[in-house]
This record gives sequence, structure tokens and C-alpha cells, in this order.
Amino acid sequence: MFGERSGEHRSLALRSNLPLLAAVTFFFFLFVVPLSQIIAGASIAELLEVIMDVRIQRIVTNTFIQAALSSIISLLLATPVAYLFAKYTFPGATLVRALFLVPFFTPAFAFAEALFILFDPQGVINRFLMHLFSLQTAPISILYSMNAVVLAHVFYYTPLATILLEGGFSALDQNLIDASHICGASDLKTFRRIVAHQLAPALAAALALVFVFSFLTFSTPLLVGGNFYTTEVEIYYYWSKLGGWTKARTLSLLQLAFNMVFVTLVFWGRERVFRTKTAGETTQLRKERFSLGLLNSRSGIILILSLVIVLLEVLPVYAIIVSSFGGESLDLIPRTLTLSNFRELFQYDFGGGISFLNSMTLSVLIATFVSLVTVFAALITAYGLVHSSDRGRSALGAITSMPLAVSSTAMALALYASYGVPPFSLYGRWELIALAHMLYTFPLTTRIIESALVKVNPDLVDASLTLGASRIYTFFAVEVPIIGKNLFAASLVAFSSSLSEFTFSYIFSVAGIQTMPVLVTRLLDRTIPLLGVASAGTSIILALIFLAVTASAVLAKKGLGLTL
Amino acid sequence: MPLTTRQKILIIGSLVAIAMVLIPVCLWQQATVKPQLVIYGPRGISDLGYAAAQSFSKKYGINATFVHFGMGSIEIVQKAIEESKDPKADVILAIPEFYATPIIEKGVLEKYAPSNIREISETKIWDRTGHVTPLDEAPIIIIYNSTMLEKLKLPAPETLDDLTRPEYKGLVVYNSPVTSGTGLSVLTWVLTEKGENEGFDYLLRLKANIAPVGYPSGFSSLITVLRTGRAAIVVSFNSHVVDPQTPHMKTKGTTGFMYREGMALVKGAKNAEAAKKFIEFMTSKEGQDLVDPNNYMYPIRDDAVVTNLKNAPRPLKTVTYNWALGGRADVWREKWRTQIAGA
Amino acid sequence: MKVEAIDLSKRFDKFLAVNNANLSIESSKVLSVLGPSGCGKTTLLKLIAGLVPPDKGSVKFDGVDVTRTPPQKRGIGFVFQSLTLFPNLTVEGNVAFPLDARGWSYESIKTRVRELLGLVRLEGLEKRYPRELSGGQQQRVAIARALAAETQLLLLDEPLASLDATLRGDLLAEIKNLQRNLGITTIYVTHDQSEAFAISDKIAVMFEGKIEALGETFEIYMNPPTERVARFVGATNVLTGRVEKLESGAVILKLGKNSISIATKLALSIGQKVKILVRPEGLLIEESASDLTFEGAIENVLFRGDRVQLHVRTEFGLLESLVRDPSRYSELLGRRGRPVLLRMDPKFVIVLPEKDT
Repeated sequence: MFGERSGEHRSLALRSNLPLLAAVTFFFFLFVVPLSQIIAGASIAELLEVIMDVRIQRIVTNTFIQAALSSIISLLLATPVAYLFAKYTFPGATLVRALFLVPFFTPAFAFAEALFILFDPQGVINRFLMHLFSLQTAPISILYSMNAVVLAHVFYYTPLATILLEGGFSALDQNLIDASHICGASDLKTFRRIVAHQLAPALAAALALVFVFSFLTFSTPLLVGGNFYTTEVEIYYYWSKLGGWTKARTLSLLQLAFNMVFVTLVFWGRERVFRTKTAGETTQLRKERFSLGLLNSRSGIILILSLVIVLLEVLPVYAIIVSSFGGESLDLIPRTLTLSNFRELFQYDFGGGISFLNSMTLSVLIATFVSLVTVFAALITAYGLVHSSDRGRSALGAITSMPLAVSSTAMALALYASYGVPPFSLYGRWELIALAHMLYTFPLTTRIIESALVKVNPDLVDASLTLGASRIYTFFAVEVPIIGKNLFAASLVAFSSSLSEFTFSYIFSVAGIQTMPVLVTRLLDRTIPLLGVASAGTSIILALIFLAVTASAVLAKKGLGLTL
Repeated sequence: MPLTTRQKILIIGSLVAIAMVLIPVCLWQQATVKPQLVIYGPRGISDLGYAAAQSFSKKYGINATFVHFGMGSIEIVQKAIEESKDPKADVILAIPEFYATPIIEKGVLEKYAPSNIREISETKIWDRTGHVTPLDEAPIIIIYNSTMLEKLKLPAPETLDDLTRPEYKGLVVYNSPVTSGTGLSVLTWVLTEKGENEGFDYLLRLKANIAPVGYPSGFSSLITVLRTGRAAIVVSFNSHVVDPQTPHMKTKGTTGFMYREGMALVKGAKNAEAAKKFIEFMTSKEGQDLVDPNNYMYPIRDDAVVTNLKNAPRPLKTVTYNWALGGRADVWREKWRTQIAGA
Repeated sequence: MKVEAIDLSKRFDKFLAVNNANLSIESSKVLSVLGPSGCGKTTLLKLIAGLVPPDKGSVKFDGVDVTRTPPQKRGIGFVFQSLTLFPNLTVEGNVAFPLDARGWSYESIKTRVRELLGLVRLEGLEKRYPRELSGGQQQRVAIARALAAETQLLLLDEPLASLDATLRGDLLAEIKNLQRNLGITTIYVTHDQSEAFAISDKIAVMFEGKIEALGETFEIYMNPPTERVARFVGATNVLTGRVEKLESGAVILKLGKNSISIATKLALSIGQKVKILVRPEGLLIEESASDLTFEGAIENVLFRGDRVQLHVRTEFGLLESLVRDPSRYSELLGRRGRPVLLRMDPKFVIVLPEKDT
């Protein structure tokens, strides 16, 4: 877009490669070392046995189908909403966007509960439909099946896909769209022949991400899938079996390989096929002010559809909140509201002298620390990535995305084996949880920052150098401020992910180190679960995330800047 | 005074660096002191585990830590077996009776009986090898939703065999033994009463009556199923009857299975003395008083308090685990997974 | 500061962008690098700036080899074609940037910025952001910024390309004035020959990575070394002829039935076929015949505002003539289709050997 990428003709001097070296070292210790624990434990013979196992084949196929459906449907729903956000400005747009993103950070068990409230035969949606159409039986019976898992994923990942696609829509070249209309092409033709091509990188990235997340899904199938087993569930089962660890490791490796192939293909395809070279300056998508008059035109259908999707998306969160205020959880509009659940939550003794307030402080501090370190590390990594060759970038991009592609349980046990035991002995300390969270948030954060950094006009970097600034000064004085919005977005993603992360926190929890999601789960794991109090806990987690998202958007002054 | 760009960069950088240093400092005191007693137990008894560790620490000034690794009771036992060459735990809590054999046979445990073992009724001491001290117990019974059955004009079931009656089609539920300790206890009950082969045959027949929801993976999802009326009959712990979240749950209470769990000293434990003290503490009234309030199970001491389960129904007749079956819970889980769940 | 580029070469993958380029420019002078798009002139500029490391060759400032010196230490100012003001900084912030980077104090920065903005006539716009400025204003800020830290060498890469015609003229004059007043050595890259001529003392003409011509502006225009250079720096009629006679410092060329004497330093031989390049302004309309006139017929008459352009069909093909008096338009229009007499002014005729195209 602006000429040569500034990486293409940089020298191979050690100094200019220092950031990449630092990033690689960080990544090596964070991920490769624990990964070697998994690889070392696997065996080729077992790998063949696993691949030939009909049951495993069936499970992997099912997982693949579910992930494919989840990602495609998420993308289909995300597209009109992303268009709405990108094209139109309206009062409260930032808040709506922030609200829309919250479901993505909702812990899985809380989400499953919310889905029951909505889609149960006695749930809100069925009762509404039965009342509307005077039906005798519930029309929607989706829970405890693969469809339920897909549904949960669609709810979960549509917001993420939307925000990513919004970035893609905003970057559309308005000149090309206008030129197409002037040539007489209809909206549909313009979309098919001009827009789709430009949108393809964002679509590909969103598809890859949702697919990988859905493929790795764990809690969701356990909670709503009934007899539908996924690879991750299978892996977990083998971890819990005596002598099953080798098989668990082998399966994790298979899972990793599968995800890596998929992600690499998508990113490679994105770089090769959809690298857009434009001849001159481009213009961004023209924004319009939203007005009710728009609802009459054809784009009005898209708008109404988008608004419906947004409302539906927010419903589970709403259901959780209603439940936390003591409302009869199956009512959308509660008759009574009480703070008793919150009171009980803060008074509850979780044993070991831990209160919810302690946990909140711990979680927020860990999340803040993780956010700062991860964003810094991701910034350095992104810098190194941006200044590699195109081919290097897609390979390195895929590698730094690898932590996303590995089973969390496998990774947790591997981290424990690497750093939990002597000589590091981090087990029982918050540092181990922080480390795990960094691993968990690093890929997405790097992706967000790298995508923003690569769009910075390389002439600006050159200009800065010619003006006497050193490379480091240029980076912090020119490039970093330009991508400031995206940095906030990245730190918010890291913060929220850490705050709501469950698997690692659970496995590494000890008396004094229990994050909020762990405490909420403990309320559910009791012989008599405290559902209302657990909802209160979840509401607080979501409220904190909402605050973080809003703060990030306000600090960034405009939009959320989440691009891939 | 306005700032130059250079100054702004330095200030922001400094703030970030300060934060990165301050936070670990704030969190420093959260780090656990090197524990003087490590207690392994399943996540399901976290409340009891943490409470017991804290009470014990306070009483004896020994820093005790309860850890669960997010694992269930079977996994914790297996972890202990895996670590047997270099044990990390001193005490293992909540060893299920039906899974004690492997851990005893593998020589992971040290024979130990606390000095106050005589204060426990003889019938409650289920490990005759002298390794595992009983901790608590709770009955698995057949519970039904009285309102639902009334509406369907169906009689209440009393025995396991009743559950296979055709009129209960689509009404029965129990936890998956693969993912839930409760489910595994149900499976164990069936196999104890009927023997392994006939037991699995029975479960296959019962499959026809299982509710469309299938086999819930965890206890809280089971509660949700019962709460929302997705099933009318459940084979599970008696706590459902007194759980305010699952009203209308009753039981004929004719038969049941007593799930029992215990605690044991790990062979080669690094803090053996403290471990012994802990087992003794948990056998005492003070320790046993923690059981019902924190774990919703019955203490094995007759003089310990029972508040939560005070009004819970106890079955007239219960079977306990048949030790002749050995410690094949692993095999049963796999068998159930392939033959019954058919996944 | 004197600037020299010696045997500079740069290859990108299979593409040789700059091929053994040699040039030098004296202190306080302006050199233009002129050439079509893609000829390597921007790469050459970046090689001199140190933004791109050369594969071969060296760059010297005042005789000192700076090839290995990073760009931030070369004391240069660079103005880019695309408007590269830092979008997150105000006008003031942009101009202050190089001073900030060098750690100047707040007060000195403020004084210098005021001075520079006065120089480019942008006082009062300190607090504006780049997006709030016009293209011309943005480039003025870019120039001020490039000059901020007592620059020794100013490099401009087609700075007027993104501006409209009227602005271009004004800004070009301003750049020329600035350069003259500050006495900064300047290298100006452009594909527009009128810009190059207006601003430079010396011109280098580049094609396909090679410098094909280097010399004083007037010399390049009047005596281009090749036909390609001749065509690029100005409109040219190209005819073929033969050397009839040799004279001291000149040749007599046979052109149709005419003979014409042209001054040249080339070593030619009698009978050698030559290319004769005639500038349109050197092809004059005559009213009466002479030994030097030949016939043609006016095919087209175009009014160009400040001149009239004629296309005349002759025995040598379709030739272009330029009449500097715009008032003659109607008269010339009336003569369309009718025969006309033409004469070549030797001052505007360039002779080149036939193979040298």
C-alpha cells in the first residue's frame, strides 16, 4: 500500500535482529520447553496405533465437523454485525461493542448455565415461542448434542469474529467500491467481486482462530454435549487413567499437528493469495451516521438482522446477571431483586482463609501483570516478525500461534513438570499461574499487534531515521503511538483472558492462590452447589471485564482496534 | 510544563516498569510458605480439604497445604501411584473404598492407624490391611421427583431393578462414571450388587430408560438436570433430598450403596510425623466436626456434628463395596465408556 | 557539503535497481535525478541516505566514506513522496521530532521550531494535526522538519508528486528559495523534467538503474548524449541524415536535398549515417525559401496557452514545431492543410551517430 515493506531490505546485522532473538528466547522458555515434555512422552508406535484406532478417527472427525460448523456459522453471523459496526456511527457504539465482546470472556461453565436458562425446554426462548405460536411442546430441543456444542461455540465466538471482521471492513478501499457502483455493479455484485477479495484476509484469520478454539473445546462438550465427545475430552480421559499418559501425550501431539497444519495453511493462503498490492493511496470505508431512515432500505435488513444478533448474543450474559440478583433464573424479567447472593459471596469462607475479595485482588493483579508482560513481549515479537521476509512472517506467525493449538490440560501438566518442580519450584506460587496465562494470551496478543504494526507506513520509519532518531527511539516514538489503539486492544484481550482463565488456574490452585473463576467453580462443585452465589461471582468477573473493555476503548478514543 | 516526546516515552516506560515490579511485590505475601505438610485430595472435597488444612495448621502451628490439581479421586490416587518413587504428598485424602486396592497393592501407602482409631465404630473401619483410615461416608440411593411422577401417575421406584421397568422410559439419569466420582460410585453399586457381567448387562438394559440428556458429566450439571425437570429419577447421593435447589425430591429409601472414603499416610512421606498427626486430627471429634458442614457427607464418628444432612433420609439397607471385585475401577470406566455410552 | 556516489549498485532479488551509478554534487548545489518511474532513482536516493545498504560501491560526504554510517548519523534531511508526517504529532511535534530525538532542551526546541515554521510560512499552525492540513501545507511541514537539525544534505523524493499543478509551481519556487538562502546541498528526484530544470544546477538522467547522462542543466538539454535522454528531457523531432563534410568543430549534414552545418564535438566520418534531433522550438516557419528551407504541410494546429504547437507533414515524416507567439494561432489555423516552409535553427539541432539511440 505504501511501497516497500521496511523489512525487506534491512541488513542481517545482529543489532537489528536482537528483538527477534529476544522474542524467540522468551517463546522458547515459555512454550517450547514445556512442549518438549509432551513430545518426549509420546511414541511413534502409539501415534500409529492412535491414528489407526477407529474410535479416535470418529472422535477426531466429529471434532472437526463441529469446529467447521462452529466457525462457519460464527462467521456468517458475525459478518452483518461487523458491517454494522464498521459502517455506521451511532451514540453508544463503543459501549455496545464492549458489551458485545464480553460473552467471549465468559467462563465456559457460566455460559453453559446460561444456555440452559435460554434453551432448556422450560427455558426462556422455548417458553416465548410456545406462547407466541400456541405450541404444546418445546420446539427447540438442542441441548446435550453436537448441535448444543456448536450453538455454545457460536455464541462464544461470534463476538470475537465480529470484532476481527470489523477491522477488515474498516480497511476496505472505498474508492474501489465507489468505482464498482459507478460501473453499474449492484451491491451484491460489488460484494462478490470487489469486497470479498479485500475482506478475505480478515475472514481467513477469523475462520482460523474460531476453528482452532472450537477444535480444542473442552468444558463445553462436557457440559452441554451429552454423548458428544471431542478430542480434548478424550485426552483428558487418558490423563486420568493409570498408564494413559503416553496416549494422552500422543493424542495432544496429534491435535497440535492437526491444528498447526490448518493454521499454517490459512495463513499461508492469506499471504499468497490475498496479498493486495494497490497502486496508489487507498481510502477507508466511508462511515455514515445511523438513522432510522436506513431501516427502510435493503441495508435495513442487514441492520435489523445485526441488531437481533447483538441482542441474542447479550442474552446469556443478561441471564447470568439476573440469576445473580436472586431472580428466578428462568425468568427474563425478574420479579424480585436481592443482593443476598453477593453478600453471601463476599462472606463465604472458601477455606484456607480465602475470601472472594482476596481472590479478586489476586486475579486482578495477576491479570494486570500478565497483560503488561505479554503485551511487551508481543510488541517485541511483532517487531521482529514485521521485519522478516513475507515467507518468514507466515512461518513465524504460525509458530507463535502454536500455544493456541495445544490441549490446555496437556500444557498445564507440561508446565508443572517444567517449572512447577525443582529447580524452579514454582508450584504453589502465583508466578506459575502468571506464566501459564502468558502462554495462553501470547498468541492472540502477538497477532493483534503484528497486524497493526505491519500496516504502519514504512516511509514513516525511514523518515524518523533520517531525522536522526535511532531505531529504538523510532519504534517507541513513531510506530508504537500509531498502533496505540491496537496496543490497548491487545492488553485488554490479555487482561480479560487472564481474568477469566480457568484450566491452568484450577490445576495450579493451592490454598492461597485461587483466582476468581476457581472460586466460582468451587461453589458449583459442592455437593449442594450454590448456583445463585456462583452467578454472582461470574457477574463480578464479567463486570470487571466490561470495565476493562470500556476503559480500553475510551483510552484508545475510538473503536476497539482489534484486528488480525 | 509541556513534555517533549522523549520525556513522554521515558515517563510511560517508567510507569510500566514500576508496575511490573510493584505487582510481584504486592503478590509476594500471597506465595505459600514452604509447606510442612502436603495433603493430596480430589477437587470435590476442596472445601473440606482447605478447612481441614487451615484448622490443623492453626492448632499445631504446622503449615499444611491441600492440593487437588483439578483432579477427581481416581486421578489423585493415580497421581500418587505415579509419584511413588519420589512422593510429593504426605497424606492422601478421600481415597474411595472401591479404589483403595491399587494404591495399597502398589505399596504407595504406609501402614498406619492413629491412636484414636478405637473411638471409631468397628464396622466403619473398612480397610483391613491397616493402611487407610476412614474419613467419611454417604449413601447412594434412588431418588425421584415426586411432583413429576405424580403427574405421570407412576409409582415411586424402590430398587435398582425397578429402574428398568418400561414405564420409566426416558426418566432415569445418573452421572457419567468416566468423568464423575458420583457416577463411578453408582457403577460400583451396580457391580457390587450384581457382579461384573450381570451388572453391565443391567446397565445396558437401563440405557433404554435413560433420559434424553444422557449422562451428565458433573455433579452441578446433574443438579441442573433435576432442577429443570429433565429427568424424574436419579441414582445419586442423598443430599439431593435436602438441597433447596431440587425441591420435590423424595426417596423410598429401601436400598442404597454406602460410598466410603478414607485417608492414608504416604510411604516415604517427607513430613511423616506431621502426616500422622493430621490423620489423628481428622479422626478426632474436632476434625470430624468439619466433615458435614464442608463436605455434605456423614462423619464416621458418632459424636461428630451433623447439620446439613440432619434431615436427609438414610436408606434402610445399604451394601458396601465388595472387596472381592478388586480395584478394577479403571477397567470398569473404560468398559462403561465403550459398552454403555457407546461413544 | 560535497556528496559523491561511487559505483553504487543495488539488487533486489532478480531485479537490478541501481547499476554502477556514479555522481557528484558540489557543496550548496542542487542536483536533480531525472528519470521515468521505476528507473531506480528513489533507490539511488535511499542508497545515498543510508536507508538501503548498497551491494557494491560507496557514498562519500566531503571525502569521508559514510557507506557504513547509519542514516540517523549522516546529518541528512529526507522529504518523501508520500506525505510522511507523524499522524500522532502536531505540526509543532513533527518539526520538533529530530531535535527531541537529539535530546535538545525544551526551550531550544521551541525557538528552533518557531524559526523553521517562519521559514516555511506556517506560523500559527503549530497545534494542528497533519490530517487538518492541506497537501501543500503538509509538505512544507515535512521540509521544515527535514531542515530542523542543521541538515547538511537535503534529499527530496518527488516531493510535489501528490500536489496539484498550481501548488506545485509555488512550492517548487519556495524550495528553490529555501535552498539558496540556506545554501544546503540538495538532491532532488523527479520524473518531471520541467521541475528538474527549474530547480537544479546539475542533472543526472537515469534509465533502468543506470545514469545515462550527468551534467549542467543547460548542457543536458542542449547536448544530450543519447536519443533517449534527448527525448526524456524535452520534445524532439528525430530525422536521419548523412555526414557530407567534416569541419573543425562541426559537420555538414545532408538532409534531403538540403545541407546544414551543425556544431558537434563527436568524431564522425564522411558518409556516416547520423540521427538528427531537432527541438520543436528549433523548427521555424519561414515565409520565403532559401538554401536552408524545406517544404511541409500543416496537419494540426494546437493552442497551448503560451505557445502554438504545429504538426507538419514533411519528406522526413510528421514533425513538431513550436511557435512562441500565441497571437499567431488564428493565422496558423487558417493555414492548416496548406504548404509551409520550414527551416532548422542549428542552435537547436543535435547530431548523434545512428547506433546511439
